[in-house]
Amino acid sequence: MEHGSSLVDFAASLVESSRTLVDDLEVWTARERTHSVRIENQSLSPRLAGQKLRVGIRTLKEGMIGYGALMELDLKTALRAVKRALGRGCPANLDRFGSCRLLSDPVSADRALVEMADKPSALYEMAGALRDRTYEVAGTSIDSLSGEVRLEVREIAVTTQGGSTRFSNAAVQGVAAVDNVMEEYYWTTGGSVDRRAVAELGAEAFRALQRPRVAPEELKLRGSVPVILHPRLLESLLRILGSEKFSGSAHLAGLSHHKPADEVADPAVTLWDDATEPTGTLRRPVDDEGTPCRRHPLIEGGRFGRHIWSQSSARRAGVEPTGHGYRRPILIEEPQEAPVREKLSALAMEPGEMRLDQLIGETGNGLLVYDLLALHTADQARASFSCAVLCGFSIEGGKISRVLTPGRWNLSGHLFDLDGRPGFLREVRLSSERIHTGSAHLPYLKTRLAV
Amino acid sequence: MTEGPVLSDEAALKDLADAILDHVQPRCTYADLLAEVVTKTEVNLLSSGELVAKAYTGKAAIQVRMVGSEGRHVEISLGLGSFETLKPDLDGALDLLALVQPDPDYGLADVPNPDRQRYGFTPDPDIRTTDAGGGLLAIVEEIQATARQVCDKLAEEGRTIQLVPEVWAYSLVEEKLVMDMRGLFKTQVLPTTFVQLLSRARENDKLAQTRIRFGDIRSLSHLLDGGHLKPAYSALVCDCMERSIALLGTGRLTEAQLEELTHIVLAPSAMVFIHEAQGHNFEADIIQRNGSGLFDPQGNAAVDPLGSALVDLYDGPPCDGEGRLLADRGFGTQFIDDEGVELQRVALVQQGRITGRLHNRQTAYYYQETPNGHGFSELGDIRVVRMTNTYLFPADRAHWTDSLEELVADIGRGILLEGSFGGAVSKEGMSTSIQFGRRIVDGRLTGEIFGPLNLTVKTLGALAGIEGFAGVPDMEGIGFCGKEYQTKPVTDGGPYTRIAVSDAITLGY
Repeated sequence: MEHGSSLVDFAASLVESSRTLVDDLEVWTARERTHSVRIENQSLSPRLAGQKLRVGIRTLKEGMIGYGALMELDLKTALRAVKRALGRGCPANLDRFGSCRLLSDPVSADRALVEMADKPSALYEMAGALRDRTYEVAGTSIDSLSGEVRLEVREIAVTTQGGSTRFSNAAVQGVAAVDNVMEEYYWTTGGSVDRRAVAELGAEAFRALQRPRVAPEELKLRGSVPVILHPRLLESLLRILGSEKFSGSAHLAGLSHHKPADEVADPAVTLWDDATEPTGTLRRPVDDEGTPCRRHPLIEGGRFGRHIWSQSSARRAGVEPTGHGYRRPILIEEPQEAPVREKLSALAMEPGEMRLDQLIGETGNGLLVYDLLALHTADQARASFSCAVLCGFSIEGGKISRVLTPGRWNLSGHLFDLDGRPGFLREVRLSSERIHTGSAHLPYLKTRLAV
Repeated sequence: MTEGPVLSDEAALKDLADAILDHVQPRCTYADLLAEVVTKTEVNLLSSGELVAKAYTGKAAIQVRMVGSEGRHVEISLGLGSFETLKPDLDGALDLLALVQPDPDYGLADVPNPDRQRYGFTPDPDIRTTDAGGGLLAIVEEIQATARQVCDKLAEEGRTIQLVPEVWAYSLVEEKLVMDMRGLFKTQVLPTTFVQLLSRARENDKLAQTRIRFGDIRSLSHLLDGGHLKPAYSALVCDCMERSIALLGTGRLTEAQLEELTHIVLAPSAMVFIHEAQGHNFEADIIQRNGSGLFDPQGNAAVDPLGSALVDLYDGPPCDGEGRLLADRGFGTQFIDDEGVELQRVALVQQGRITGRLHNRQTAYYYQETPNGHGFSELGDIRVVRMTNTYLFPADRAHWTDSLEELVADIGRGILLEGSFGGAVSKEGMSTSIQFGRRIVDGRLTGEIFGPLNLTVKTLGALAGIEGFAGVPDMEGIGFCGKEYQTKPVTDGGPYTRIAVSDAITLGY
């Protein structure tokens, strides 16, 4: 795939062609290919995607902002969209869009992964190896295996009257779920894919489940219970419950009352967000408005860091944008038609000093939880959740013991203090090892949650 | 239903489809194609107060399914472009088709009624040619004005409440073409209009939220009367805001109060339980992969009866209170699915016994049953088995009262659950966030409201405790169901439903 030049050329032509119509024009363009091979027990289903183009347009004219979207690089259609956007403008907070500039060293997708997009048979082979290895290890002892090997290649360019910027990224991801409970993941954004690691995913998930199951009434754990959160679950909790609490526009709307330096967490908690983190799947130099991304403190030594800001919300607050303006789609929205909303990017947390096995050992009786069911339905206004456990293990006598019977355990808590009750970050222990989920680099976190 | 209209750019789309099918035919035993073109006008009111009005957005995609010998199969999603630009990707898919292993279980059932070609209706106003975004802006302005009025009224009573309404509203027209290399040709033109209000209330440091959604497979005019929201929808908006305020500072049920509950009563707005705990388990692709809690992979029911004999459960076009089908209504309804199969109402459960399941063409072939129009794709993605409108309906009149008051009259300690923020399912059961509950004490609904609760329901046993129903079934619980990276509009509903508490149902925090 050619690196971005045609996206920039198209957008620059559109900006030029509409110069007399607008005060400024922002053209967000994306070109993507996503191939996957689904695994359903013994069956493999290749699902390919040819090149898809996305164009999101924002116009500024006399203090009004307009929007349009299309899925082709056609100048005539795009100009029509510009004119329709101008006819339906709304009051704008901005005078100009961002001043984008072509980067001398843009983030570039790994060439080997880009070339794999033209040879999807490699994904098919990896999915087949995963399936075969799982059944070799598990035999007929599993009810179901489902999974996927997936390749995503994406180029994004942002162009305004102030210039253009562009980058590309690519990732291969593998996932295997055994008995609809335990999932194991693999991801890479560069170099060769570790095919052996992909092949082992199902077998690893199977091995993890080779323990008896335990229901809540057997363990007699109720009320406030020590719980160790797997980094994958911790990431989900931080993203879903934190999405409004760290958002600058939510702060302006009165939905997030924390101020910088407010004490919100255990002093051991230092959490930041950094889309430029070099290895992750979210790596990018700029947000969807062309604002440069950088390391951004969310919680520092237990104190609230700074809110995240898009161009528009930053202008309203009188602060600098932080590179968190994203075309974040919700439900049936496509990225090109989604409004620019603030969004957390790659998360990272400082590790602690105890190894995971020590954390488990000092826990005595408690839970190690990997995944919750329906976490997306959490109460974002209050940053609280109450969900059934989808995947987790009991800790009994300081050792991982049994599999939590799916659907029988319920956990609840909240990110920050609420109605006089402490948030789950308030008193924590962090593991010294961190796991990189692809989109976050986090330790295991031990806290107390209501069971 | 009358014959549907032609697509707006049908000749060009058909030419492209013909070229694709002609190209792949020599290397396939079968191929079919879905093309979807969506034109939309949309408004977002963000929580920041920023208004985003999109007068026009256009999107389109094609899905091509290629089947080779011995069940080999590959599917590819393409953007809309000239045949020459799509050809390299098609060739790549054909090359892969030659490499993949046989899949002897794979096949596609025939499309019933292949001769009928056109479905749907022409929208009015037609947003493909008319900028109707002003109507959506009027809705947003009305919602903002309602928020101001509610806050002003409370200010007169000495309360300083801030309401932050977040609105998402759209009107779209989806045009669909389904063709195969054996001559199948079907089209559908379908408008849809939708409004979502997320109302957040704030008083000092207390925050609470509620959400409503309304919409149908209708044009924008369906919601408006003289440029304003119809009174029924205005009332929903006002009610949503007032409820978010009522939830400020509400308490939690104590452990003792939770343990003494003998019954829960689900309002129609809390029926996501039917979609999650039951509906997904009837999707035949989930059954085939051994992910259903109700069937084994061979398609045998895991339990009989599944539920109380009072219960019928359906998926398909909705019905009125007398059970008469409303074939052209329902936010989840389409006339044909994305494989060209006409949508059927499927009786999933009748009098508590399992009687059906949901199919696309592939699962219908696998189970040697007739496809029933439940194979859907999100904009050119793979077609998987999906629900449309899923609802409970009383199997008889004997346990169906007119009023909610009658239904709860002999409940000692219970709770009425209303609203949901969605849910998710596993093989064993489901979990959903209920917006709020109202306590029932000694046969009467109290004024005590309790804020968000979690309802967990086991798939097996969930319907067994149903003891009765009240009121006219409401099938307008709108949701967006996620499955395999795709999102599909659906509804769930039914009448007020009374369920005895058992170990299949857990309510808590």
